[in-house]
Amino acid sequence: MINNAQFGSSLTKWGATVALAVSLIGTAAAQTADKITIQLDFTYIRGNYAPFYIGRDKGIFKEEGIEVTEIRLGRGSADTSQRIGQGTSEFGFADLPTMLAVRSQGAPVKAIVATNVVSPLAMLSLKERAPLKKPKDLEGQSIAVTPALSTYYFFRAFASANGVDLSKVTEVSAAPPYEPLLLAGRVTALPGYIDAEIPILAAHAGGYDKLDILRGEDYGYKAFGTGVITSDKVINEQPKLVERFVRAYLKAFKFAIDKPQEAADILMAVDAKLDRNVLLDQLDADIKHTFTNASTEKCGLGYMDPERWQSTLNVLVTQKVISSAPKLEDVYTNRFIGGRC
Amino acid sequence: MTSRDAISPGNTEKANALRSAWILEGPTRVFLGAATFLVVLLLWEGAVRVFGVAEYVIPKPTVAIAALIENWKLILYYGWITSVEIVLGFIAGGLGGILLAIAVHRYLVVEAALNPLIIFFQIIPKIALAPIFLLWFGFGLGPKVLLVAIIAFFPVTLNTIAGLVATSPDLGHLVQSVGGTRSQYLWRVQLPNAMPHIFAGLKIAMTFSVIGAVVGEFTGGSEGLGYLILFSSSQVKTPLLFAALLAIAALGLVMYYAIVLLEYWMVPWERHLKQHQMQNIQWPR
Repeated sequence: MINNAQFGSSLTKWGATVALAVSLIGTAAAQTADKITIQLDFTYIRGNYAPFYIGRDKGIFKEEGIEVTEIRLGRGSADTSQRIGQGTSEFGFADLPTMLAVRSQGAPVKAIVATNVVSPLAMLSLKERAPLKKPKDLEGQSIAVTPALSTYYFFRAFASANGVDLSKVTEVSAAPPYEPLLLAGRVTALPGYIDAEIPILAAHAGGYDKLDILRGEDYGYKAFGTGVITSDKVINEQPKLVERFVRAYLKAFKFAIDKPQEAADILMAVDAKLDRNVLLDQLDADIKHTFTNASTEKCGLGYMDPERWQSTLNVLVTQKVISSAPKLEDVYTNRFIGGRC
Repeated sequence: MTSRDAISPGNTEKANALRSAWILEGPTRVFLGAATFLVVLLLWEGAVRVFGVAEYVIPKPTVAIAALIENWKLILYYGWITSVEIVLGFIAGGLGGILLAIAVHRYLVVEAALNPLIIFFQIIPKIALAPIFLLWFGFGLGPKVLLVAIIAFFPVTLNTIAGLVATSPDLGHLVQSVGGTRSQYLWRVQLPNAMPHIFAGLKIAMTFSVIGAVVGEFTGGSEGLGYLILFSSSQVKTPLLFAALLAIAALGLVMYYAIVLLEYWMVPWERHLKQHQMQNIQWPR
């Protein structure tokens, strides 16, 4: 029989031992967390970056034993794809057609999630100055382009899919951002992303009703938009890490789709220079048009339809962006999204 | 009457006053500079108002300054980041440039071997080098400092060599005659002699360093005044863009005048020599 004092003291000792054990286990778990960095594609945060920041700031990556030490802004999808291929970061976010082109040049990059399963690219103009109700209206207009960028291939693919006579379209070579050129009337139409610069432009033009927008998806341009990429090395050497990363990413992705207001808040907390309304417009455009389609309904978020990859490849080959087509199974994989297909 | 008065009779005092006005030190100088700047600002403001120019094309200076004030913390923080890149790169490029010049001047073999490379690095547009560096070395501080150093070294090297060469050979003979070595001649006579030239090179290099840091930030990274330009132009936040430009201009001015001040302190003899020479110039009426 032990008296109260002895019981209390042994309880304390037992409690202390348990607490110590738990804290040691806790520290061990934290120490085995994989440290990664994420390389984004562009110079400013836009709506579809939300899953990364949600995943980091709401502890979703941490739950999967992943510590995101840095999320870096980028200088274009081609540059980002090259860096992922080089191994500067474990995971990246890049325009998938551009990634395909970089892959064809030998960089060992692979797509593991399609965030925009439908391309967010569109042709747009200021309604008042130069109406754009159908693709043929592009004839007689002047377009700002940069030959090396994804928007250029899109424009040409859009034109060829819709029988637009390019000899009747004036191409003005200019460096992005093109928005001031459109607003000032230096060009009458632009290729643009409905989830990036178009909301910014709409804000400056006085509303979406001031713009005429023809989405590529509606006019024969079937390709992916931006998606999560990684290198062959990471997939081969750390497949479990990729699995956990994608699982966490998709969870954060779903959060962004279900709660865009909170997603916008999280992004504003990361960078107060942004416009909350623009972020929401960007997210809404994606939620409405590009995050989901028939194949994601069937197979799961982020699923990459092989037919759409084939059509993406075809666009690049026809536009002579790539000379030697890589094997599509080297370019992407659906094996990490835990989908139903 | 002195011989001076004979040359410009009856105008000695006026002539002397004009001569010192040529030098224009201190308050007059600052006032003129500031006044001109103010006039430019007023013309800019007026032009935007009168021609009804849209803000996304060019904002009024009042709007740009308002954006500067509104975002002062951000601009100060980013300004600090860019300053670190500028200063470290400038020091690396300046020191490297001087040492390179000494090596090239001292050893003909080095000159023959390195000359094409030096010119090659100068001719290559650094905008082309920047993405390559950033791809090799990443987005951190190191590659940016390297880029600034490469942009800054050439004017320093060129001017240092000119300064070393300009040392009068009589001084060399003098050193020899008192039993001095070639090295002593180099470090104790040639280099101090070359200081005015070196500083001319450093002043140019400082302006290049500012440009280099901004170019580096255009190419990679998420912070700094150069990045802010990129950000605000993609978001069509033109007042913020101009605020960043104003901040870079101010930063550049401060850095440049820091070198001027350093020269004032380190090379007093050139200034005194010039003043003395100015006093002896006789300009006919």
